[in-house]
Amino acid sequence: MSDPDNDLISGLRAGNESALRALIDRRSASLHRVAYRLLGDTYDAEDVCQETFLKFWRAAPDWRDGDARILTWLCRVATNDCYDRLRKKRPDLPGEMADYPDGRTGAEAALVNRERWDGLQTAMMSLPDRQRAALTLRYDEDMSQRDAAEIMGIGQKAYEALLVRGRKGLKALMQETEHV
Amino acid sequence: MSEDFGKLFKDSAAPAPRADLTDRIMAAAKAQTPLPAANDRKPWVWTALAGIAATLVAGFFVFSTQPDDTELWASEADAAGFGDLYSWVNDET
Repeated sequence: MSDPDNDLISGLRAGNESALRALIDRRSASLHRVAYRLLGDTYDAEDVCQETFLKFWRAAPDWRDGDARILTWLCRVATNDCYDRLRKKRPDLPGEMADYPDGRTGAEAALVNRERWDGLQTAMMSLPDRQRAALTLRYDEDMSQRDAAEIMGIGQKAYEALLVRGRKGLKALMQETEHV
Repeated sequence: MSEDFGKLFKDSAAPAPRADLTDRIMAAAKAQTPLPAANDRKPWVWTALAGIAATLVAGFFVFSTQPDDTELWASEADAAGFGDLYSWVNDET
């Protein structure tokens, strides 16, 4: 099993801070996307990212090649952290949506995009946590079924079933609000 | 349908983290307890090995300094009447 972060492993094991910085630069956007989709709050998602990288930093000296890919490990720890946070405090639907991504062209296009973005995230937050995780790993991160199932700690068939239910639920929710 | 979802997620990308997230994580990592050197990360192994070695040495010392008390036990057995018992058994057979 080849790990695209293999080039950083020896540095991370040795406690090399530049290796940690390189890993954060490379993987923080992915982790943040997954955590954001699960939590619906960009600041909570950043906290999850920070905690996840710090856990990895502590575990790095004992990292064993071949056990898992670093990104898979990071995503698994981050999703578990998100589940814990969701259990402790069920979030309401996303609030003011202050962090809507930029890069829009024209006021009308911006409005349409904004509505669609709000609709997706609102619908996502209405889905069960694990269906939401299955969807974001597949569609935000483009992960293989095997990697996504490993991150979620379930078999591939169970992951596929979650994905099917998630797609069905998301479509129904989006149609209710006429975003699809 | 799968392609529709791919496009939907792509068009509705989650926000990126704030630009200073990397610096904040690095600062938190530096504030943590420093990582031990790779060759020094399991001090408990050496402690356990030292304990086992000390036990073995002490055990050897105790057993090697015990007096040979075979004769003492034989005389104690005679005093307790085992000699008569052996004689009676031998006479019977």
